[in-house]
Amino acid sequence: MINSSSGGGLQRKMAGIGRNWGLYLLLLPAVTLLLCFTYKPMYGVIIAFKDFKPALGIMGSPWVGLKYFEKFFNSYQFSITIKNTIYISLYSFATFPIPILFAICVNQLRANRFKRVFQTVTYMPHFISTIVIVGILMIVLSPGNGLLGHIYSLFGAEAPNLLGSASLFSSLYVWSDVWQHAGWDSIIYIAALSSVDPSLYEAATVDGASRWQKIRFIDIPMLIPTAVTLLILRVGGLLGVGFEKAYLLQNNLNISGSEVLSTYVYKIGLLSSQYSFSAAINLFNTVINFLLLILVNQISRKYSEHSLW
Amino acid sequence: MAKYMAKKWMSGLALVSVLGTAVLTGCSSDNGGKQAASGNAGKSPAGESSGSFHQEGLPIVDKTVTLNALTIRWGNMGDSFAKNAWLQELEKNSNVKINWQVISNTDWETQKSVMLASGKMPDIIVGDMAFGDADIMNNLGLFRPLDDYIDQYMPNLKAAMAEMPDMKKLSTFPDGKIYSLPARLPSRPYSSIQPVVNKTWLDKLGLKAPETLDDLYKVLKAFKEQDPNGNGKPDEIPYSDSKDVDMNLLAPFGITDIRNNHMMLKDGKLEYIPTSDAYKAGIVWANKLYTEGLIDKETFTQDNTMLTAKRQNPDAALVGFSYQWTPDAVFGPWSKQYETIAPISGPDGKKYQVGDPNGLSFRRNELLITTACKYPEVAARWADQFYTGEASIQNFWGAIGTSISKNEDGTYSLMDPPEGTSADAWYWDSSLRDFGPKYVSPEFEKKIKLDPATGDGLKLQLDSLGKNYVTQPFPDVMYTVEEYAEMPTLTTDIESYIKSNRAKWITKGGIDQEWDAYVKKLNDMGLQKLIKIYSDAYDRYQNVK
Amino acid sequence: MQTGTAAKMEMRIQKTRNSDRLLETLLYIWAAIVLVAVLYPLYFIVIASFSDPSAVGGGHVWLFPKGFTLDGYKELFKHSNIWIGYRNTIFYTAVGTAIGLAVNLSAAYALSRKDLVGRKFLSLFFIFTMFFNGGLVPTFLTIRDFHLYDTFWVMVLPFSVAVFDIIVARTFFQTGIPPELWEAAQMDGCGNLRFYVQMVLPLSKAIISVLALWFAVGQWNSYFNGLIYLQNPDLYPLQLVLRDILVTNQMQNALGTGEAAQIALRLANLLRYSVIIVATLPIMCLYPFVQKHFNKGVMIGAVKS
Repeated sequence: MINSSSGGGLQRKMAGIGRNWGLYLLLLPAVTLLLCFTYKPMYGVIIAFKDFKPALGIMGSPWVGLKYFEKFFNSYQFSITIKNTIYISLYSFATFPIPILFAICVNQLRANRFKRVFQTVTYMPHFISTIVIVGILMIVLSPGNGLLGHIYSLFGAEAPNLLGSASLFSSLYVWSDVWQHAGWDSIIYIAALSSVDPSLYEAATVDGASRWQKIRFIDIPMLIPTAVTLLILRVGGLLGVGFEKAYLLQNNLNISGSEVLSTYVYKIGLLSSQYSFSAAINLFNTVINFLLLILVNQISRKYSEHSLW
Repeated sequence: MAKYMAKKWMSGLALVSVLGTAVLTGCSSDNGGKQAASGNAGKSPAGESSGSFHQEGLPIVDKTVTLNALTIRWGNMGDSFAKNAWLQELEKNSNVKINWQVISNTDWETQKSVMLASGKMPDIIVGDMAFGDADIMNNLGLFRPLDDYIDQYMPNLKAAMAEMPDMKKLSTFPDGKIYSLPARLPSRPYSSIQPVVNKTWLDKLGLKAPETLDDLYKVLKAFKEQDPNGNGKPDEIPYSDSKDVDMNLLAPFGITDIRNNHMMLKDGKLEYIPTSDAYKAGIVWANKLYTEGLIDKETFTQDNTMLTAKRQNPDAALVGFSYQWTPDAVFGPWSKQYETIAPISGPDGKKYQVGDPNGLSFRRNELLITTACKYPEVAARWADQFYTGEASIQNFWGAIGTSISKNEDGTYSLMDPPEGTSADAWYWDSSLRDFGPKYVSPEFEKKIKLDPATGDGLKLQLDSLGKNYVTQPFPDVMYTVEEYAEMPTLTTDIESYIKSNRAKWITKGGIDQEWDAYVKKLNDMGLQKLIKIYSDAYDRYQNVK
Repeated sequence: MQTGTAAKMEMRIQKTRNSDRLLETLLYIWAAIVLVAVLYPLYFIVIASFSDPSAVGGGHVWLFPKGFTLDGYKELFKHSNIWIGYRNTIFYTAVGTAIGLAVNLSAAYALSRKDLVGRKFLSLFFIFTMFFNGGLVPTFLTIRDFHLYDTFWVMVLPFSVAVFDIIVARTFFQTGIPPELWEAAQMDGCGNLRFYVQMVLPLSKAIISVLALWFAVGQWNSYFNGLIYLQNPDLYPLQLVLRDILVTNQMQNALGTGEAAQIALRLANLLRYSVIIVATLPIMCLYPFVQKHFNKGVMIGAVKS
């Protein structure tokens, strides 16, 4: 009995595969590329458990087990680095709704020409390289002859040195990111809003709905699937505080608030390349992130209809 | 419409299927690829042995041998150095053709591991920017020990090592073998960077160049308060720096740290600077300067761009005092106002100048021969041609006839750079400059006549102010593989703690209360282990024969 | 009685209008503030690119260029390989975007279908690669084994799967393409491939434009693959060429305080802003073309009936 029923399930599955062979054909290129160029070299993760010496190759390097993980956990900087990384990640995570609000507002702009100009302009900062962004931040925030310094001196006060404050580092990091990427990040939501059926708005207008009500009952539900998907993905990138900006904004005065995983790994490798050590830290990082993603995905599946798998 | 759709459909399908098959065939050809790659490893034509090799004299080989040479250069400097007439001449006379592969230092950091791991090594590597001590030591299998080659095929280098034992000490690895070749550059000073002060400001305020710490304090104070640049604004910055104060500011306290590892030799004994009393006294003094506004309050946060902007401020000179190699290039339009002065004497009345009493001219890892090289003896003989005085100066400034003129009395002098080019940029353009094997004996050095007004000549001129006070530095030691494995985490943690405390103490004070806790914390972090590594390495260095 | 209801109705509409007007006003105030906050730094970059670098660094440039100079641009265009870089980048962007769209959109659509057997496994198969990879060395060896090292294709093919994009596009397909549509098409004897090309793609212009934009911008800005997998400078993308010209801050630190360092630093400061303009102006102009497809209002309702 049991056998035959499971056999039937299998048969049904086979039939499903046969019926939808076209879908597998659509998947074929992406799957092949991933198998060849991502899964095939994936054996490389083992260098986190080896003492990797390039000359010996990955297979030839000696195994050291968890040595580099222990080294990292026992490092004096471990707790503070992790703390800073998590704090900045969560902070930046909290700005997640901003591009959504941004998209809703843009969608409400009625003057078409203005709307286009607005969108184009706000997406531009995305293209400025980090080194220039940091350069501008420094010039603007300089307490001596920066914009901030000038404003303070108008009132006869002395400007604080924001760049040298450990507690303000996270704000500096996160809000400059928002400034730079909010416009760009909102594009996907604007695209989602563009697929709202116009007849819905017309019907709502006939019913005497206010604009606020239209936002609430038409726009927001339309954005939720995309927003939830992106939110889950964002959780999966939780420990990833970008290296370049953190490193460029870092100085000896704010280091207790600005040392994050990526900058720490970089410094460890400065004296001599530490392939295995940085691989171990990265692996630790990804495993945590992946577990978080699985967790959030389970939760989301339970309480909403949306999940990544 | 239907037609259009159908067409689109077809093209989409075509693309998908093409992509699919391309990738599939790619996947299956995997093994073939590996074989082909390994078969290509040595490019030199097979069957040609060193039969035509000459033990001495030129040519080195009868039939042309091609060597692939890798060198790393700064940023966008490119491969113009390869046109150097001496190099070209050598290629013609020796029958050794060099196939230069030039990589910029910005790209190299990422490419290094790939090159080491892929096993696609060039035959020789020129310049010390490619592989550091740790890279070589961790991958010894890729590089040839050169002791025998030096003995048999490199008479010039052998003579140089006999004349200057440091040449050998410097390049002996912890296992007692020599894997990389050293260099001694011509006409290098004894002093590293030296104190520089705005002379125009001094004259205007009727002050003398500061000689003692007290003098310096008074001068800085006067710079701050008496508007020496005469624009009526209190915009003078007595001292400014980027990201940290220059450790040379603490030199009067007897602190010199030329290797940037905090190790110092005091009366022949090793001392760790950041836990020393001298360091503490120096920080207290720097804190006083900072509180009184004599150190730019943006010092710890500004980047190099902003610092340069202050030094080269278009309307008026802004900076009073600084430590520089030479003052001529740093201050842009105001360069003429600045003058290098003798070291400032400290509380003990003595003067200390960072540098090396043997001269700042030694370098190592300037040439490596890899195990991929099929003609190591050819490479060794080729490299030995660099170790004569005349060859070295031509690889440092440019060829005789283009950058150097040989005078009738046997001396050498430098020509003027072309209009619109700075001398230094021109030298970098026409020679290997800092990189590659070289040896200039002190004897030969006397024949080099430099213009004391610019560049290397100017530095030698300024050197006389400091060279009598140059301190004995911690030598350029090498560490073992085990030590190298230990050091990165230790130094990263300790370094970052020291730096952040220094910044805190200079800007906010509090060193007296926190000093003991600070020393204890450093010991907790493994400072003693680190100091032991340094002293072991030092002992090994001293014991090389 | 009747007039009362009408009046009430009138009042409600009036209220709605008032609240709409308030919203509208707030909206435009907000938009104006955002616009200024974004425009000024952009404007700053433009004037800084025409100014004396020490005036910029010293905080003297705020509203107009100071010490007007074209040196930054002149210095930049001295390097003839910039043009080669431009050409290469345009090719990489065009081909890379086409391949990326073909590969990822079709995968996204297949994964969006609830009746795909093994959907969960396949999704995980994709998502897993967002987290785990073999690292630089094994990937390099793989690329070499496929004979892609130092070829045009290495820039556009091996790394063209973008799982993030696939997931986002999948969400769009799930909400935008109602299952009934496929059922109806199936009834008419339409296969999966034909349905995908003839129905799904034409209905998904918005997400196709977004993905195209993401791919194009990603291709345009990428230098890392070029750095690792290209040796021949004739294949270098623009960003790699610019990277070599714009010597970074690291360099001066390493060079110390010598004259060469000063020259390099001055050059870096001079080029910093002009490089941004030269490198990004062309790709920035892409957006209006993408934007066009957002405002058309997709006619799913019409198709449904």
